[in-house]
Amino acid sequence: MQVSKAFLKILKSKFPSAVIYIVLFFLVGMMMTRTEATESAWEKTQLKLVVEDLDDTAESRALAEILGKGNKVIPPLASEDDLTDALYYTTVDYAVTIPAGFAERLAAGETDGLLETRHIHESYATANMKMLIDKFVTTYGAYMELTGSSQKSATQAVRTLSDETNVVMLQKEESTKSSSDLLLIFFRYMPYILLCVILNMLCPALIVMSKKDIRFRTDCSGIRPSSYTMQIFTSSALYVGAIWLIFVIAGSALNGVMYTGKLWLVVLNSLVFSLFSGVLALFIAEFAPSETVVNLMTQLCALGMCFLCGVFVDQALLGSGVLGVAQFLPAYWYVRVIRMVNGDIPFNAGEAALAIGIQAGFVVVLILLSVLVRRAHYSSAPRKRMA
Amino acid sequence: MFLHNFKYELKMVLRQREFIMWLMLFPIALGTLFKVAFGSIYSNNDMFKSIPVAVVNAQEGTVLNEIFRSLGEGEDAALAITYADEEWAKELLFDGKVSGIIVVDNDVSLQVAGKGIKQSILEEIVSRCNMYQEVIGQAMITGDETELRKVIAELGKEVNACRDVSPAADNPDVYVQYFYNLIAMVAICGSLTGLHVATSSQANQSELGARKNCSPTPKFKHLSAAFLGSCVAQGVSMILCVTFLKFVLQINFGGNLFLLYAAAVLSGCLGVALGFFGGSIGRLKYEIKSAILLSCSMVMCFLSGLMVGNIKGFLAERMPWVNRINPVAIISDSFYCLNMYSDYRRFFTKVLGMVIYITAFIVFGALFSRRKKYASL
Repeated sequence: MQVSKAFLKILKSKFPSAVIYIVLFFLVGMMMTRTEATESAWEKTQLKLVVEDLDDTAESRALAEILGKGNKVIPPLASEDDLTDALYYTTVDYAVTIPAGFAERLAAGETDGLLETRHIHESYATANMKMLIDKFVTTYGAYMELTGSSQKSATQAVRTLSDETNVVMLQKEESTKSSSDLLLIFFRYMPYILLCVILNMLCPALIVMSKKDIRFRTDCSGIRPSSYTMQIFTSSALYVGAIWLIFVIAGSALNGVMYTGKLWLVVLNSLVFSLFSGVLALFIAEFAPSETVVNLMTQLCALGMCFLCGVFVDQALLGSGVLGVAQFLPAYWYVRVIRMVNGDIPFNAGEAALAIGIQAGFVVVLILLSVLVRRAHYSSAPRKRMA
Repeated sequence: MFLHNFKYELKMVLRQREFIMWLMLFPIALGTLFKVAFGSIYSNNDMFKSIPVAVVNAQEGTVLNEIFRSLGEGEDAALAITYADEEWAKELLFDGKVSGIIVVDNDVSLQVAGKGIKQSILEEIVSRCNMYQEVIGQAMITGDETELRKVIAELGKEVNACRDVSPAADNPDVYVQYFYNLIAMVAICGSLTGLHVATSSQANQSELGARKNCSPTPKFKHLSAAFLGSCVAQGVSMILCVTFLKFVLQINFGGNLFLLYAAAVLSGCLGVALGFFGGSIGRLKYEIKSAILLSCSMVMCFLSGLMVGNIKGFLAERMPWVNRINPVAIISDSFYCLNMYSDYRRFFTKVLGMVIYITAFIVFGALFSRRKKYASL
């Protein structure tokens, strides 16, 4: 117990910095969760548009009405620079200016270059808007042939284009999407938070334990190396468990969701990943880097793994080659379980158990590697353990 | 004396081989991972490509079939059509091989398995088909065949109503912002070097600080030498970081290369200044100061879009002041402005923002660290 006591004392001395890490990274997690939005029944993707009507005629108003249907119309922005920024960051998908004289040109049968449009990305949103605008012009033209009146044609076009399209949402199986969506988003980002917090908190304490002075004193004592290792591992596991518990309870409390059904699987998943983070800290600490280097290594491991495995960017967007590499990292399997529970991919209990098992496998492998490195260090130490 | 201190500061930085190695390795490793992860997302997922769709019950020779055929033809076809029966179409849909099923009956309807922009475009196309049917139906009611022909001709007319006046960007790829933020993060990691500058001059923080406080060298001289030495070291690592991203990973940052390097070096100085400021406040332990700096840096990086790319736009809508005051956002914005704007007005505004921050951090850092007396240690 002596080693555990010493280790927990060191951890206690690092408690103030631990609180800073927990609070700030929890804040980051909550912000990440809040920036994501979820949806369930079929609805058209709402695009964000800036529509500026400089013509102000029945025809231009009809077009503006059609553009605004099912989309979010944002008032014109203060400057051209603001619009460029908004288009780049996709807070605005498309900007349309209806120039003066639009109605006259439309009534004259012109169909090309009637509107001024701005966009940055040749994206699906841009294609969608172009289709919608062209559809209005075509419909208007057809009604002009039928009615001969510009205003009537505009009204008829709006009426026809406002008709609802029959869209059926097919589902292979019951989706679990519910009020737990926010909680699942929080859990999706958890690997980053866990890696940052656990590595930043545990590594410095472990490095202190492997400092020459303490190590040599421990070597001279009657404590067996296996007992020393076991005590360090157990204390670390306790510490990791406490951190994990804080995040699991706080996640539930702040998102207002209780753990039920498949959500327990997500909780188990996060526990195994927490253990992985703890074991990774043990492994890194074996190389006894400085605290500053630990900070950089932590960010490298956390950001690298999270980007590659689909924590920050949806796995569906990552290429097959990237996912092929990501399979060799535990965060990939962690995210896979979350995606199954979220209904993004079909849920299969066996596959979910396998994914959690693979993460547990990573834990075992890293424990073995840590023990190996520790032994190598001990055997190459200048003063060997006395028999 | 200044040059002497400066020389030794540089030597000290260079002797921290492990730290230097990691500071260099950090952008190289993360940049490579970013390149692997985001290299093709923009062109594969964000850029418009033909949408795979299954069409059920399409009958040869009908107007609707002609519409689908025209939408599925050519290099820039809107649809990649598979004609299928209902069973097969559903199989394709659930396997994710098509984005939707268009069912042709009395009306044209759409079946989808998810929601998204591709499905919305399919809905747009289906709605267009129904509009054709309705308009043609109305024309038929009039009984005038000439009118009907005119209406059909009007509906078949090629329309291109939009005149594009978009701003010209050197590289519109939105994922490049992750690299902007990576450079900004490396710069802000310089705060750890800046923290070292502050703590190495405080007698209660380090042995070196105690020795420096006993020496007759004025505090201003050894502090400014240490600060400048750290800025030089950080500047070199920033240059290496940009060089690796630009020339090895071939990231297209757009804009003027010289200004890109200049902004990167200046951002490195901002990181050092931030660390110096943070390290000068209060008498907290080095570990706590480092934890505060690192956590705050990560929060700033998060708010600038390092983890969630669209956060900057999200904040611009709700709390635009955050983007204006966040040093990391200012750094990444300077690279963004070089890419997006052909005139350098906005770029220099961001540079001015960095200079103001550097000045403020140095001035306040110096104010906090002056006149510190150590009666007993």
